[in-house]
Parts: sequence; structure tokens; C-alpha cells
Amino acid sequence: MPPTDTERDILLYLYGEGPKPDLYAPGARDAYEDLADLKDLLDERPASQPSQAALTSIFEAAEAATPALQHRPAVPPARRLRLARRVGLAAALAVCGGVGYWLAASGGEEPAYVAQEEVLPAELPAWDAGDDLRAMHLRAAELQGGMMDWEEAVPLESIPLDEAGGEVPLQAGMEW
Amino acid sequence: MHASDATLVTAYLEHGDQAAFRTLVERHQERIHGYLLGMVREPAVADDLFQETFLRAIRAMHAQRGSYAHQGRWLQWVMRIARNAALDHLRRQKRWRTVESADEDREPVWERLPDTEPDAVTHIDRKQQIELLNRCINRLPPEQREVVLLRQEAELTFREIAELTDCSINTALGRMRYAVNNLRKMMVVAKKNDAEYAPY
Repeated sequence: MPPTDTERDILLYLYGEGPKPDLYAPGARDAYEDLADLKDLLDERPASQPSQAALTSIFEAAEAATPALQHRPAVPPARRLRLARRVGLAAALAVCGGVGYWLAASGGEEPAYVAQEEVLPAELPAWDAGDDLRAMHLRAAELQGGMMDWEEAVPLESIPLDEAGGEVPLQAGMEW
Repeated sequence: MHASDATLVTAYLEHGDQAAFRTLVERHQERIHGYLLGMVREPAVADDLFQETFLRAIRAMHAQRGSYAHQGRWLQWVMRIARNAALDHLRRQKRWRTVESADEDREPVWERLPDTEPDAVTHIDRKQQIELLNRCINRLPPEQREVVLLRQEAELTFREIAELTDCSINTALGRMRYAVNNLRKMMVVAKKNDAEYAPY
């Protein structure tokens, strides 16, 4: 008697390749138990192992077939990514450290362009005083020059009190 | 971490990682050797074919790197090499006969045997049952035996078996159904005969 579709479904189920079959069909339960018993027996057969000599020969052949330049352990992709991240992080830290050191080292000094005083000509022609800053500078120089033109010094006593508007220190022999 | 076969193949081919190749072989050696031993039935010959399979695989892997790596099915690829090696050997020994699909519809000898007293199977020791089962597997028609070995030893799915043996999935399933039915009946008959000749 040829195998039935029920047996086909049971086989697929027993090997994990199909859904559970309808075991209420006539004869399905008996067929399932028979096939399941045989499957259990097949599963209990001991595993077959190749000889160590065969394995050794295969591994030697595999090594001999590998080009000499490629004899180095593989770097798994995840490890390669971690390595790249670490290198990137180290480079970023080095750049930040370098910039920080440069800022700290140059912080107490004025930049060279600031340290240089503006050199103005001793005398500027009148028509060249259009610039406000230069005009203010010239005005300040004029004022300073004027303030320094003192009159000739005279004794304090020679200044009349009314004119001075203040008190004159007493001198010896003077009375109020 | 369980690296996939494809990852191990890449590690071996691209970086010469011998440990990856060892892992690959150790992962599948029982499946491939079990199939070969079931096919040729002689441990020494199975060892030779196992070695030959991997030597062919190593050469092919280095020669055609992209042909199988992208398929992600290294075991099926190696099983095809193992099957070719086994069939070559059996053909040289004239022990492989291609069974046409129509032949499977013919009733084998043990099909005509009465399917009685199935419970007698349970009377003998489990270890003896397994030995008896192995003998019965060896007596199966070649293509039925091969499907049992590919499903049971190599753990290929019926679809993968169909691809490997160039048949439809229904044919692969049909061969398996015939095989298990025949195994059950052969075991019943063998036990009955053993019981008849067993000394009291």
C-alpha cells in the first residue's frame, strides 16, 4: 500500500518542516505513533566521527592552500569598528589638548599686532586730519602743549589776598 | 558568539584564519561523515571520501571565492561535493543504481510482507534496535537510503534535499515516506526472524 498524504504531513511535522497534522483522521493516530517511534530510533543513532588522521590532513591542506602573506588572524568587523572609534577618539583628544595648550601659552601676551603702537607722523598736514581719531589726537597734543606754557613763577606773598581769594599762611612776625 | 558559516569562510579566505576553517569543519564533520558512512558503509572508505571532499572544497574555495560565499549555504555546497565523491566511488564499485521515479511505485519485496505484530519491536533491547535499524537502512534502495541519510545525518531540509538530488520536493518526500515505511516493515520481519531463530 503506498504512503498516504497523512504520512507525508506527519513526516513534515516530525522534522519540524510543517504544521501539526490532523490526527483525528482515520488511522492518523496510529501512523503518527509508528513514525514517531521510528524517528526516535533514528535520532538515537550515534553520531559518526571522522578519524583524527583525516582531520589533521585536511587542516594541513587548508593551511598550505592559504597564501603566505595572509597568515594573520582576522579582525572581526565589530572589533574593527571599535578600533576605529578608539583611534578617532584619541585623535580628537589630541587636537583638543593641542588647542588648549596653545591658548594657555599665548593668553598672557598681547597679540603682536596690538602691541605695536600706531606711529603717527610728527606733523600732519591740516588737510590730512579728516580722521576723527587723528583729529582727537592732534587736539590733545595741542592742549597738552598749551598747558605746559606756564607764566614765570612769582612768590606767593606777592599775590594780593583779594585776588587769590584764599588764606595766606602766617609768616613769622605777622599778626592778625 | 556563534559566527555564521559565511563569516568563517570569509575569515579563512580573506585573512587566512585557520581557526575559522577548523571551526567550520568541526561544526559539520558529523553530518558529512555520517552521510558518507551511510552511503558507502565502510568506515575507512568514508574517511577517505571525507578527506577527499574537503580537499576538493579547499581547492574550490580558493579558486572561485565568490561562487558560494554569497549564497550563505556552505554546508549544502560541501554536501554536493561529498555526494559527488560518494557517487563516484559507488559507481566505480558498481554499487549505485539509479532508480527511476516510476520504480518507486512498484512494490518492493518487503512491501508484500505482512505488517503484523509491530509491538514485537519493543521486546528487544534499544541498542539492538539501533543496530537492527542500521542494518535495515543499509538494505534500503539507494535513493531511499540517500534521502534518509541526507535528512537524518546531514540535517538538510526536504527542499534542500530536492535541490541537491535534482528532483522535486514531492519526490524527495515520497522517497522518505517509502523509506520509513519500508524500515518499519523490515524491522518487524527481521525481529520476527530473530525471534524464530533465537535460542531458548
